[in-house]
Amino acid sequence: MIDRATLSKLFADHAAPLVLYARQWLDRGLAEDVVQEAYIRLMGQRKLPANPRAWLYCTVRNGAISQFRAQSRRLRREQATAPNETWFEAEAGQWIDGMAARSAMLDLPESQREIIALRLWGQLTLNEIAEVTGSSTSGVFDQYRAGLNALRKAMGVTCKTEDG
Amino acid sequence: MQDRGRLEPLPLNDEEREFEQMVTRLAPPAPGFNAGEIWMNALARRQRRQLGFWRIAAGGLAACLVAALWLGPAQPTFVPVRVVRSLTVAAHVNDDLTVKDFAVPLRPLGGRGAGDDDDSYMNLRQRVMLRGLSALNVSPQRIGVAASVSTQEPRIEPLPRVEPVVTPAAAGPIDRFFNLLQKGPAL
Repeated sequence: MIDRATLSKLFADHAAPLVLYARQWLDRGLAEDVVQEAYIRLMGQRKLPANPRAWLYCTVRNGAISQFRAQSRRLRREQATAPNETWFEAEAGQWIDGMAARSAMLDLPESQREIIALRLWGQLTLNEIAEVTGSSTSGVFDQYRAGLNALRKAMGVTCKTEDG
Repeated sequence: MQDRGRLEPLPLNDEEREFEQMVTRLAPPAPGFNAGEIWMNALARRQRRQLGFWRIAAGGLAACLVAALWLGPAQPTFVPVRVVRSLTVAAHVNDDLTVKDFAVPLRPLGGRGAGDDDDSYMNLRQRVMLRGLSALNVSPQRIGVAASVSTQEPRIEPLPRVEPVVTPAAAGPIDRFFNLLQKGPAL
């Protein structure tokens, strides 16, 4: 079983981005359940995986997609239209509106949204993203670039500059 | 939280890179659980798994025990038997079914002392049934109960001719017995 110090470090580094990643498919409560389950499963491993970060994201992805498919259509619609759910912390002096970022993210195709979440907040490399999503590295880069540009265009009106 | 901004450098233009850095500053909120809860849940699940393992092991052993008792080799069945030698009965019965004479040589019963068991009584009873109460006067040798230690073939002794005490109407052993009882005092 993995020691507690390792768990604490993995939790501090990846728990919040993992929940954000799971929220691509689920609401906050279910996303936290999936992430917690992934950590518990990690603790049940005989030895730490070679790349625990990729392992965690892969496990969360599988769990979230499984939960998403198990949900009824009504729940999915309610979840998709939940207006008050925030994906990002509201920080003072932040240049980008979190709600606008969430709205722009939701408008992206699922594959692009997933890759952007993995890179920008999960800080996974392209190879790790390709491993998690089961795509090629070049395909991941193309999707990421396309998604980033779409996000930039969608948020262009809400982006604030340092000048004000 | 891991350090933000440590993104793998990608061949992006300046606008894309700037926007990427800007968006990265958005921080996802902290989850509603902590590492301690995960640790406790993992321990509890591990204990449950071990408990389940031992339950399955105990159940398997119990099933094996039942199967062994059910399918195992049968216990040897000891049927108490008693090896006796058959009595050679020489009966001379005339045409009108009147019993003329009986010679009942009794062979020794293996290893047991004559008179020590119920056979002596049965032998005597049999003689009485066949020959009447006069059989009570004969010596033990005449009764035919040989010494238990004797392994020799018993000698068939000719019995003295006696009057038949059994009528053809009561040819059955039980009938003859009761007939004898009824006639006993008269004899």
